[in-house]
Amino acid sequence: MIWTLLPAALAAPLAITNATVLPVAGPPIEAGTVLVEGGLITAVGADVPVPDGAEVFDAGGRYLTPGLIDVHSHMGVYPWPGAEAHGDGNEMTDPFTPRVWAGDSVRVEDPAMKRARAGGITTIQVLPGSANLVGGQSVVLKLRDSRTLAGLVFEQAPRGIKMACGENPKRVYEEDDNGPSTRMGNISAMRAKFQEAEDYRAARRRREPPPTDPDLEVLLDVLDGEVRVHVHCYRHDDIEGIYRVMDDFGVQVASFQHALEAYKVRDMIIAHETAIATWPDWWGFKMEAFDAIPHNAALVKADGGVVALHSDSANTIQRMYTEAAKMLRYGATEAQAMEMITIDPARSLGIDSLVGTIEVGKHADLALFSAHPLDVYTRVDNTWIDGTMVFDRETEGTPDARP
Amino acid sequence: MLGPDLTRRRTLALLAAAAAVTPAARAAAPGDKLDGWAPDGAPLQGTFTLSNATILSHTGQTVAGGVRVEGGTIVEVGAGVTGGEDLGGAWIAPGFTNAGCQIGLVEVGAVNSSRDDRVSGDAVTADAHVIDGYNPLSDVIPTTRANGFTHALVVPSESHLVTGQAAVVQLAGLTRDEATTLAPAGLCINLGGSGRGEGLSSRIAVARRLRQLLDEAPEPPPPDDGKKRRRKKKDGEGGGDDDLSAAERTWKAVRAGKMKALIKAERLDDIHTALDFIRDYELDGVLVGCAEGYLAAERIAGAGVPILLGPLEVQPSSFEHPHAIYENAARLHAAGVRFAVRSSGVHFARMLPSYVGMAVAHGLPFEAGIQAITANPGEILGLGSQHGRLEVGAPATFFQVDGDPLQPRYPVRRVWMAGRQASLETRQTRLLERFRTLR
Repeated sequence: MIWTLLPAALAAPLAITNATVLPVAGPPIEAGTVLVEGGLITAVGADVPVPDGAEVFDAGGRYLTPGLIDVHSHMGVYPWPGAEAHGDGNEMTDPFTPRVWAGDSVRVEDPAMKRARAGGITTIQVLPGSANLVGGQSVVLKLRDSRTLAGLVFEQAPRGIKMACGENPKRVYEEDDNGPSTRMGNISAMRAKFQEAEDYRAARRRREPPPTDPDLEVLLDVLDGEVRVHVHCYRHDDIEGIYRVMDDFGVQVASFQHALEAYKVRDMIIAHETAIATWPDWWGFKMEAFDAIPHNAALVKADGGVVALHSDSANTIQRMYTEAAKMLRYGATEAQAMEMITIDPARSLGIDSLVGTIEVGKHADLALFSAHPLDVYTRVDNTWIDGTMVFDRETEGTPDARP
Repeated sequence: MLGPDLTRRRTLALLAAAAAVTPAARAAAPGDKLDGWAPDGAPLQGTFTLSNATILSHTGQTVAGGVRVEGGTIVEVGAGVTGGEDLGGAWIAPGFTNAGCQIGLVEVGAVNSSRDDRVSGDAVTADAHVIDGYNPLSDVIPTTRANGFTHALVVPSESHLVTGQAAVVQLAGLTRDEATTLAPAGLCINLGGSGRGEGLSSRIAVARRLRQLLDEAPEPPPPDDGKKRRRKKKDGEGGGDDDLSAAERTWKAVRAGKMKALIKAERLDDIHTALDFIRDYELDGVLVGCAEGYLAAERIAGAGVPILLGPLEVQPSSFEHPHAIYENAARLHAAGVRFAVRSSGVHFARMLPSYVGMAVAHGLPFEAGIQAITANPGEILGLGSQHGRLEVGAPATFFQVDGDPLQPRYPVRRVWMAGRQASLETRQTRLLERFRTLR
């Protein structure tokens, strides 16, 4: 990690002045200054003195927000241009593939990532797809200028794993001898697999232990709470089913991904301290999305839940601020809507002490908007990651897909 | 032409229905209110006045004022209108039209038994009528209507070269007859990747087949040059159609410029192919999609060919449109191209206004954006000169919204079609009410 921060550490301090700062951690600051040193935010406020030798960026009154965070992306693992040969997101060889890591599939040069950056996105979680009950481990990336995966990885981010239930796994494996082909098959297979991991743990303690099983080793880490569990789950009864298994094995569910029926059991989700990651207004594309309502996010948020708006799309990810604006129509406040694309996604990934707000000590991941981010006519003019400018509309325009 | 007559007839039927207000004497029963209209006896129907509003014209101008409606028709609009209901500054906007989606054809995307959006088995299904698959009671319709949409062009999914005949529907009504505004609205022809399938393997095959179809079409009648000719006339169509099949009649109408050719073309070369066909066969052509249209903006403008543009959010994500840019709509407008906007798919149709807003953020004048979602679809598709306009004599087809209707933050409060108030209840509002408080 140190070497990726090195350029920022050596650079002169950066002072972004004359900005309408939306820190998310507190009320807006008119004509504010954000001071950046060594890739971190070192001062925020209306009366911050600019140190000698600092590079000054005059925001001209425009809106400065924390860099936006999307916890559900398949950029890199389904890179552009779309082609069968680019389908690296679902290891559809077994319902359980906990050993695989999305980082191994990431196409570092996916042009979609540059366009996401031009939408103010600074951090993404790249997840394996939802074909498998346990699809594999996620990778959290910062969208830095880098030609290596190592240069993209958000190294302090906790490990994460993708699980799935409902229609997708049963559709993918219904022809297989061992299934699953039903919802009850999904849940019982998960339960059996976690039991297998517990049995494996016991067996490993014996004098003649079984050979190392890379899949079960990862599940032991899950059982030990070392890996954050992100479960693809649409229906409220599926959410309840997942808790039946996870509660029995003492596994904390970090987030439900999609969670379109979360509103029906939001009390249960909030009591479990599980975040939801959801779309504002996607619905109807499959049976388990038919009861989606656009008020879902606002209802969960109003009752105290952690709500991340996610894209699951290399297209939508470029306009997450407009996705948040939709939430105002369905009952959220402006502050809540902004939290849904910044600090709440950070919370669901366990990186909220590092990013997600403009506060002293946090990474200098920032986005500058031409108008209020919840105004549909706004555009992102500049994006910084670790204090380094990674997008400048004036010189680049919206990046195209050419090398 | 079938269209305008149909439009008039349905408008009259609507007015009659709006006038015949029957008091609701019995309790609601299962099956009630499926037609998408506000309950009988609801206020502000047929003849009413709204004032202290922000009136948004189809040209994107706003004026403080009101609108007065008599018998479902706008009789006064603008600054001088007072009295009636005070809207406290809320906006009144012309009804939005989505110029291309599969609304009413698909209920749940991944459930094949709920899909009626394609005719498979043949690369050319010119005599297929999309209206035969339209379900006026689809749950997608009220959800779209509740976002300010009053009309949509319904097209088959782009699964092969010639997919059938499109229709314009009004987004309310119990029956297909009540919902139909214009059918057929044009023949859907898909070039490029979307034209492949059902045995056509490449752009070469797609263009070859289309050329064959147009060459083999029954000859259009000679141009009307004022000279008397001896020929059989039937239904004012030029006669001689009795021996023709439905497909042949369709091609004849297309060749004669009596039925629009709605030609899907995304990649630059596909757009040029489409323009070549329109020129060579003198078609009444409309381009559809046009992700890379900005690269041919001068030619499109010069040819005077309009576009059903979109989805506006299309990305350089595939080999079908590797040069898609956010500024496409702005560049086409600047070149003088006339276009209406369309969404992708079915359930996402309601997102279209925010995508128009996105195009405005990337250089399209607000005024042009409003025009593209209100009046332009009517002009391009032939829905009459007053479609999508707030002007005297136009049907009172508009909606009330808290502010600028392209801003996603403002909810739509009420929708009228020809003076009749539509219901804004949806599957989603019913679920909201059921789970607003957890019991």
